[in-house]
Amino acid sequence: MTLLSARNLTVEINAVPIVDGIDLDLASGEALGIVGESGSGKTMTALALIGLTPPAATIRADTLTIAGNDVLALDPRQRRALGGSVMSMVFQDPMTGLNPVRSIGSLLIEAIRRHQTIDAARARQLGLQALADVGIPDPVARFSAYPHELSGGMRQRVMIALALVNRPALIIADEPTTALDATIQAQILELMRARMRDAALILITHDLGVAAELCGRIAVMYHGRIVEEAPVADLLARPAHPYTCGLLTAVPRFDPARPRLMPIPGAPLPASERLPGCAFAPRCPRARDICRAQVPALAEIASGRKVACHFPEAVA
Amino acid sequence: MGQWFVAPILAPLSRRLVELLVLLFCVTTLLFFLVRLAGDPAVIMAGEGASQQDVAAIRQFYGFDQPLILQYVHYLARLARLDFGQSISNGLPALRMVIERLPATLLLAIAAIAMTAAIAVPLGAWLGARAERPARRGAATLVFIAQGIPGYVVGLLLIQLFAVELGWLPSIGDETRVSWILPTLTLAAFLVPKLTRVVATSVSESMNEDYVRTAAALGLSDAAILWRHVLPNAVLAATALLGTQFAYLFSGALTTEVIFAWPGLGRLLVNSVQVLDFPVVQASVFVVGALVFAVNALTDIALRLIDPRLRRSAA
Repeated sequence: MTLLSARNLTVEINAVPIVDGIDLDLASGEALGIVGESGSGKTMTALALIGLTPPAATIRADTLTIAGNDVLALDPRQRRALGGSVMSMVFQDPMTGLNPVRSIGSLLIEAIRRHQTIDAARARQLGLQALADVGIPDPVARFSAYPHELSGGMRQRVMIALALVNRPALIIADEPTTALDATIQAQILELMRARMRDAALILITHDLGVAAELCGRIAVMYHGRIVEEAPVADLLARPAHPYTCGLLTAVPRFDPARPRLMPIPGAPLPASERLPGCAFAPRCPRARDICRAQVPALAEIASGRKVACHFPEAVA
Repeated sequence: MGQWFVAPILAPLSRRLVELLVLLFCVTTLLFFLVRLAGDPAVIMAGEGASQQDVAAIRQFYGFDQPLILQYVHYLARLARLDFGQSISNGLPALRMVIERLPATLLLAIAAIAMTAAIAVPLGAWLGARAERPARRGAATLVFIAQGIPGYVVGLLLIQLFAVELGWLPSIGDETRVSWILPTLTLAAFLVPKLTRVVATSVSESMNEDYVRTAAALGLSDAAILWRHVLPNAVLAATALLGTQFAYLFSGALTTEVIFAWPGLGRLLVNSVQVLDFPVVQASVFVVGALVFAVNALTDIALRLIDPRLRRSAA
């Protein structure tokens, strides 16, 4: 069952394409990681899917369907109503993502009753259950608590409870563990893995390790485009795009066989700058003339594996 | 239940009480010397054509002939017993005169604040929710200009229009219910632009907060986000402002009461200054000082009760 299908999805801000014609496909229950550096367009992709791009942004696509809804044909009100019910989003910073003057319970009840016609008592039951489901001890006491009374990890659990409470088919998580302590990160990842079996997940992260924990498939974004897409094991074992290779060698690991961390030289191209060729060419050790002249298309190189590179690594 | 209610109130209250005593001491001391720079009350009390002997007798009677520092010590000693002396104009106890005038002023202030909140909160919410839209930018500029119009100008315009030209509303006194309308409007006109701008700024800042994005991602409508997520935060800021604006409101009440012949504290103060009835002036300023302070303290307490972050961290 195809849950999400995007063709040539483009998000422009002031005529600058932040997301530059990407294709996304997601089946029900599947978990896709979108990995890239800051400014690669991964967060803007997430915001475009849930319809929360800034006012200055324009979204275009040949098709954008989510759970059978032709999203771009909906009016803003209908579009908004998909949020929290068909899909929902977990944001990076749980410290600022919860309204400081609203109790946890009131936020949950509001979210539930926005999408389900039930009375307040029943909504309270569902809300308490949602808190219990994300591993919050003593949900009854936490129900009347305010965000500032909870730790960062607890707040992120609340954010996840809010996102899950109406049982959406798609959850978009944007760096859900980045703002948390390392030990808490592991707990939240564990929780997300356990709780999101029913829903499809799009995980936005700069951290290949986090993506590998949760996702079956990974799409690597660079300069607004998907440069490589592959099942997670294949991608980690045999990356095809030089940028992915660079990302992997830049991940710190306790591995005596690997001598040292290899940073990718140079800096990413600003979104406002366009090159006639591959955007990674200026940083690429393998770049040749054609790389600087012609943008490589995302092409299938093996079953389930796509790469946008004129000279990809051999993967077979 | 009881603890979160009581603790955040009592702790700051005792600290505030000390501040109040210091404030009142400073205000009364300043006033004592200021009033004595303004003129010789004995000359005014004796009236035109009085002889030197009469003036000297009055001076002696009221103790104006004693060294200033001695007068000041006497003054402080009586002040400690809340004895402000008698009005020079009519011989009534000064403090009682002031307290009798207080309700008219307080009720007018409360009416004006209620009207201000009823206008400024929705208006500010509308202006701030989409501050970048041209129509709202224009409206915000009008509000900004309105803030520069002095209160007495508004009062005089209102009288000219509704009392003189149209004859719909009375322009003086507080005898009938309709006579409250123009003074309340005048005072509110003084406060509405300020509060509107605070609410608008606060709303517009809150619209960019992460929790607004969370609410939108949960599918809440723009109206629900504005009223249930943004405004509760913005109103906190507005409450803090309303408290601090009370002192300004009082200065607005001064001119408003004079324009509308309102039998309140403001008019009493102005009249007393004109005839150098300084026991009444001193009592008035003392009471106003205490009042402004009390309102600030009450605002503080109100904020502690409304804002969940203050409510429990203070306990």
